[in-house]
Amino acid sequence: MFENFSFIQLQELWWIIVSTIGAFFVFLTFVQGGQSILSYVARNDLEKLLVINSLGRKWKLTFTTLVLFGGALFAAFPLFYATSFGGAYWVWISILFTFVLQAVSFEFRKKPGNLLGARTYELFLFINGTIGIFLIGVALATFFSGSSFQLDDYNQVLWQHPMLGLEAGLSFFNIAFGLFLVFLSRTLGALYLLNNIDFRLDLVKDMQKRLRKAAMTNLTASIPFLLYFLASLFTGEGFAVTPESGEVFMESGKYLQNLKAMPGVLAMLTIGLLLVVIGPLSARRPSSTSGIWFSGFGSILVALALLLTAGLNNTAFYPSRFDLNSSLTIYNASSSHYTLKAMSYIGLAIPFVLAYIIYCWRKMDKEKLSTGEVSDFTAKEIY
Amino acid sequence: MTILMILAWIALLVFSYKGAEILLKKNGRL
Repeated sequence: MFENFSFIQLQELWWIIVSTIGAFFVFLTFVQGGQSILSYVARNDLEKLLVINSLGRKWKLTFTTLVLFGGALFAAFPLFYATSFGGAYWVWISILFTFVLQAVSFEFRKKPGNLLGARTYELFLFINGTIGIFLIGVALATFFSGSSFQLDDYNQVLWQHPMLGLEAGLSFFNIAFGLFLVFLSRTLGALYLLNNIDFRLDLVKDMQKRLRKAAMTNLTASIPFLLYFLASLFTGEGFAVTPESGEVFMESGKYLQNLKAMPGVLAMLTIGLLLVVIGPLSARRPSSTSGIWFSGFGSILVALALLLTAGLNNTAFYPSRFDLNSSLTIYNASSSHYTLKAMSYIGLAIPFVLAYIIYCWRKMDKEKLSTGEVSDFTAKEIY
Repeated sequence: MTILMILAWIALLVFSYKGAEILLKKNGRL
């Protein structure tokens, strides 16, 4: 089946697969968003229990999707993995560290006699929800703004800045995307909690109101950063590749050109942005709980469109500002033809894995999380 | 340098959130 695919077709196919996983990860950051709005929406222990247990049912899905995103990138584009993880060391290790904090927090927050106390773990969850997501946004924005590195003849990375990746946080373009992702995840978090918790008891009615407000406020806060990011992206220069020679050069309006060349991606971006906005607007109606599906699907489309714009249509997806020709493209950073072919066969199992995830999700969400459920301390899984 | 950068990120995050909240309240949308 994949025998007839050319090397270039397989490289493009794998960029699309990796981008799709990344896009799903962006949707699943509703867990981090929920963690970061915890102290605003939950004012007493019962409310906190509801929020943390609602997120606790899903946190591993986000975590494993992030690992899958990294893993698929490693397998399909190993030179990116080697260059970015080796060079932009501090930004990646800081992200991973915040995810270690998250895992520890869900595991130990309710363990009796733990050393740190519940509030410390709640702070850890906040750090993961804000700094973790912000740094992921900053790292992803360098796909468009570039980094300072050079590859030697043996593909060894020579990073040209002493902050080893954290210097990306000095560019307002990168910061804007990072903050957009933080506010988007908080919007998604509020909408997810509105959908997942049973609010029929009067005891938690106030939290429902606070969640509706949080969705609207965070969406509004995200808009200026999104507009700045998109305006800079589509009016500025981009890193283009000459298909014949593989030479990288600066082209004005490159990313806008990509959208014109790929109208499907443009449609995805436009529809995605609309859906993201519809979610919190629909959540203003007191009976509405389905905002997460609008904004969630919208965020998948937006992230997918941006990642496809970064890598397809002869574009360098991990550019170097320091040495343009050290920039990585899906053509020079990929695994061999044989490896991509073998991986594609294994990739045929993806729909089964996806079906299993959907099955588990439906099982978990068959009944909304109630106050009775989190107050039952004999339950096996309580976060 | 790194600490200053992190403080600037936090300030941006807090100010934009508070700004959005004030804007929505003024327009009666919150």
